[in-house]
Amino acid sequence: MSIIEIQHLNKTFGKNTVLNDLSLELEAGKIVGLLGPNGCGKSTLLKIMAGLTSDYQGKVLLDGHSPDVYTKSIASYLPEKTYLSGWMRPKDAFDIFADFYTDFDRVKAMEMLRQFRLEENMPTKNMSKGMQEKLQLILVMARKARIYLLDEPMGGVDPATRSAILDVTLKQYSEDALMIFATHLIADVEKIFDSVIFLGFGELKLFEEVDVIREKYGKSVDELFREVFACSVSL
Amino acid sequence: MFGKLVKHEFRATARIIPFVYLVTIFLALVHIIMTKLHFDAASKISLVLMIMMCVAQVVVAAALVVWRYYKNMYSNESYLTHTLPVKPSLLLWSKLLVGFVWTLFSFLIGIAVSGVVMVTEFIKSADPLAEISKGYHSLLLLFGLQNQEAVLWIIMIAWMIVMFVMFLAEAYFAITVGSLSKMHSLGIGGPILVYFAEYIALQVVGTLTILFFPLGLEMSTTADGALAGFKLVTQNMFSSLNETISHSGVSGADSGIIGIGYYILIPFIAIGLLCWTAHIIKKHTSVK
Repeated sequence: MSIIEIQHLNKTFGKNTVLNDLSLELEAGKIVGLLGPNGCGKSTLLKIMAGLTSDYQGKVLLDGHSPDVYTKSIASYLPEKTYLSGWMRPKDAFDIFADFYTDFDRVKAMEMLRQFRLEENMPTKNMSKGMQEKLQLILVMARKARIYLLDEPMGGVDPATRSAILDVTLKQYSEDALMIFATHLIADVEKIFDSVIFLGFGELKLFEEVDVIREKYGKSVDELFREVFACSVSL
Repeated sequence: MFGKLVKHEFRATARIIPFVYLVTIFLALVHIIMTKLHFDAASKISLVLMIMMCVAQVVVAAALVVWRYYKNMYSNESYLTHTLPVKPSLLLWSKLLVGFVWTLFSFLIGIAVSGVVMVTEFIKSADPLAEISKGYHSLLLLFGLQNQEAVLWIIMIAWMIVMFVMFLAEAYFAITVGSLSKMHSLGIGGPILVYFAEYIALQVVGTLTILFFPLGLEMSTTADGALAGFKLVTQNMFSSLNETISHSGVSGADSGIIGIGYYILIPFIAIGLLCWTAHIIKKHTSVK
């Protein structure tokens, strides 16, 4: 059964259509790459699923519910922006997550904090962008959520940190959950994807399993992506 | 969940606002010490600074509370706020409660500090308590409440609560509407524009209600033009003004009505704005 069901989803910003009649069904137990050029609607789609945008048309269901209190309790969302106040320390952020999310595992969070060599009492305003991204990833992955929505979790960090983030993501991911992973760094992460979604300016260009792509097109996901979006080849 | 939201809201806001109170209290102490030591110039300067700080702390607390609402609900922090598994309306009510407590607290600290300073000032005069008591009783007399002191206190406290809630309701509404997706391109300008539009609309509603709502305070004057007192009447101010204009030039004791309809309407406007804000947060939230 699909844990995410999207039907005829439309979203506009003024005269600009960001999502155009998008329909999609995603099952639990998969890691899905959400790929597309800048401004194609990836972040908007994730925001709608996370309950951050409510002025859309169409149907969006997470575990049978439109985005609401319940879906927020089962979905763990990592935005591309840093959302913690400058005064907040990792321990303050853990307090908030422990208070509001019953699936937040503080022990696991502390373990990841040590793994990333972050200090529990360091205010985020004193952290580098990479450190802040690691902290947010810890918050998201320390939850035993049923759906993970990750928006550019590796944007703006060095290759070593990227590998560390990927390791942590895979280690903490539980196999009965669905993970949607939006990224531009396809070559770095395509090995972890079960399937990929190519989103081209609000429209679904491709939704296919990675193994099938390799068999059918004889290309890697990265190669196919470059071909589809650089040359505007329709599939 | 409401209690947890309130707890974290207090934790976030308590980092700055109490320091403003400390400055006021410090200035009050400086003033008292300078007065005791008879350093007149320093005493006067610290008194002026303290009075300014008493006013400023209410303004600063209100500004911080409103800024916190904007940052937490519609800037980067909103990515956390709006993904918490709580009813969207609870976000508003928790911020309203905490904002109200801080603004009220700022006001009360201002009053308390001023009271302490007043007492130290009055100690210099022959009979300090008689002076305060005289002023208080003339106020009761003016409103015809000599035997109903409790009514005056209830009205004053209720009025203060309503005004603080109204201020927050106006600000939260302006920020929420000004942050709708259609206004994203304006940035912080969106809420500011909406606030001005809302202010003008409320001024128009206020003026019309003051003039035409049939509820007012009848102000009576003595033959020599001195204020004799107030009485509650169910007449509108507009007809009273008309009457005054048509009888202008006639000498003798005069009376006039001050419309107070708007002040009765304010709690309903505040509730309306807050419910509307809660509805927008639930149905039309779109973070940048």
